Amino acid sequence: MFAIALLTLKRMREPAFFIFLGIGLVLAFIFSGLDPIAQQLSAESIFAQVVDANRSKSPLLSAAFVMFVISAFFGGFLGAAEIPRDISSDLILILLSKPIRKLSYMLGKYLGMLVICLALYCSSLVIIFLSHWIQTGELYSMLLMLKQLYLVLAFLPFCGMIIMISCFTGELAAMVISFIYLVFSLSFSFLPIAVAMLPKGVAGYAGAAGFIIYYLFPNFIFYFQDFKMFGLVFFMLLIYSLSLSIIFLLIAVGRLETMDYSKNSDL
Amino acid sequence: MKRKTGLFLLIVPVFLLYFVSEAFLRCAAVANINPDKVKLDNILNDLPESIRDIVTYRIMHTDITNALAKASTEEEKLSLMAQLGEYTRDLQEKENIFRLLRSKYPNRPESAPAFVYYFLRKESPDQISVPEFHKYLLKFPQLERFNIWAMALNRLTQLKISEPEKMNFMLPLLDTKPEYRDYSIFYTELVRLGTKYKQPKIANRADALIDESRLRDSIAEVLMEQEMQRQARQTARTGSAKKGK
Repeated sequence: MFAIALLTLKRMREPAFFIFLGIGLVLAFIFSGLDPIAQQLSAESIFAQVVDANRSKSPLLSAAFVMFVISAFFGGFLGAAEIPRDISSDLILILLSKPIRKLSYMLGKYLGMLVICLALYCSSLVIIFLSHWIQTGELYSMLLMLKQLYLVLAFLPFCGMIIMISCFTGELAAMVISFIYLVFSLSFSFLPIAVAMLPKGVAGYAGAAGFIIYYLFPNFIFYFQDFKMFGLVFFMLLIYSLSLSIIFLLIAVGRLETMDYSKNSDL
Repeated sequence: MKRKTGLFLLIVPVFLLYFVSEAFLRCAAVANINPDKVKLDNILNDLPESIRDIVTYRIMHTDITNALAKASTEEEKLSLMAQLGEYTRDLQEKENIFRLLRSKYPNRPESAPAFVYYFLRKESPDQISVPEFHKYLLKFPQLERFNIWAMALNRLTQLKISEPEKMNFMLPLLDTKPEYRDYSIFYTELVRLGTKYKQPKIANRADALIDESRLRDSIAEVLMEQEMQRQARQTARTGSAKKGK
């Protein structure tokens, strides 16, 4: 599994990774001066209230939010092509002919992609913290820095989702479908919160149907919500991330187990 | 077999954990929201479009139904019934409301949406013909008649009725002296149609009525004046009641 992860991490030596990293770091520096995300939103919006409910004293920084999105985009771009490329180049046949199980192969790919995303995000965070220190002469509090690291949890299901989609499609299609899937998941993220706020019975069957569709997507809004550090919400967020990742990976493994690799080969 | 059992033993708790954690996080997110701060519009904006449409419809429908239940005057009740009939997507409900309005209140201007609904509705056995509609329309003073004319013409546009037929439908307008400036729109249309279909008599008569209607007050002005007079009367009545005490 780790050997496969290391193989995936070789992408970090490619120029594409350095270009993305460079762009990410420049953007992190540009966005580092932004106010916390709650202050950027209208106080009446649901998202603003979910993000800032005065439960913790450490707000989510706008720069961290933006860099999370950018890291996920770049990481997804790099990771989505991994498995389809292995299949089309028949590398997967060589790898699986060795004593490597399909599950280990897939977990290796998952870990590799996770490390790429984390590398992009964490290096951006370092730039955000450093530029704040340079500009103000003060370091952010430890708790505030830890709060930004909570978004790391969102990469767990995100990478699982990308790996799952890439098991079903080609390189380019995986990127496009991942993006569409992500857009849908964001559009349905507010559904349960909005339905809960409506007068009882108003949503009716539309709400029920919406919920069925909602469960087909991860809810990334949960990662941005305001909660006490190291409380029950954090614990549940961890369980949510892990369970969702396992579900995505199980689907991916199921696909790898039943796939005819020769049909997708370019050779 | 062992593998399948193992997979099953993994999938069930994973899904269970997913649903439990999701429900918990959802409750935590909802608990963050102060209901007093959130407007209904903001909630609706955050819903996916397909669901937003259904929810908005249900809210509006409930609002009209509640207002109807609370309505005190007959006028208010009838106009809310007509509004509900126009708004509802339940065809049976729509038919029931409009049939009731048409049969029980044929002399009320509030029933106009019901008459417009059945106007030239060929698929309905209760369809209303042009003369029947004119009969209903001409019962009312010009102030109320204006909206009914507008609704009927809108219906004719929806039905894609030919322009000569539309012109014929509008002919009774030529026999009435306009009391409001707003009627000039209808006469302008009649001039256009009369000129287009070579009916100089109609065009000239409509043209003369345009000039006449332009000298009149607009409906909005009249209504505003009536409202001001009503308020003044009410104030005077309250004042005299206080003095009496």
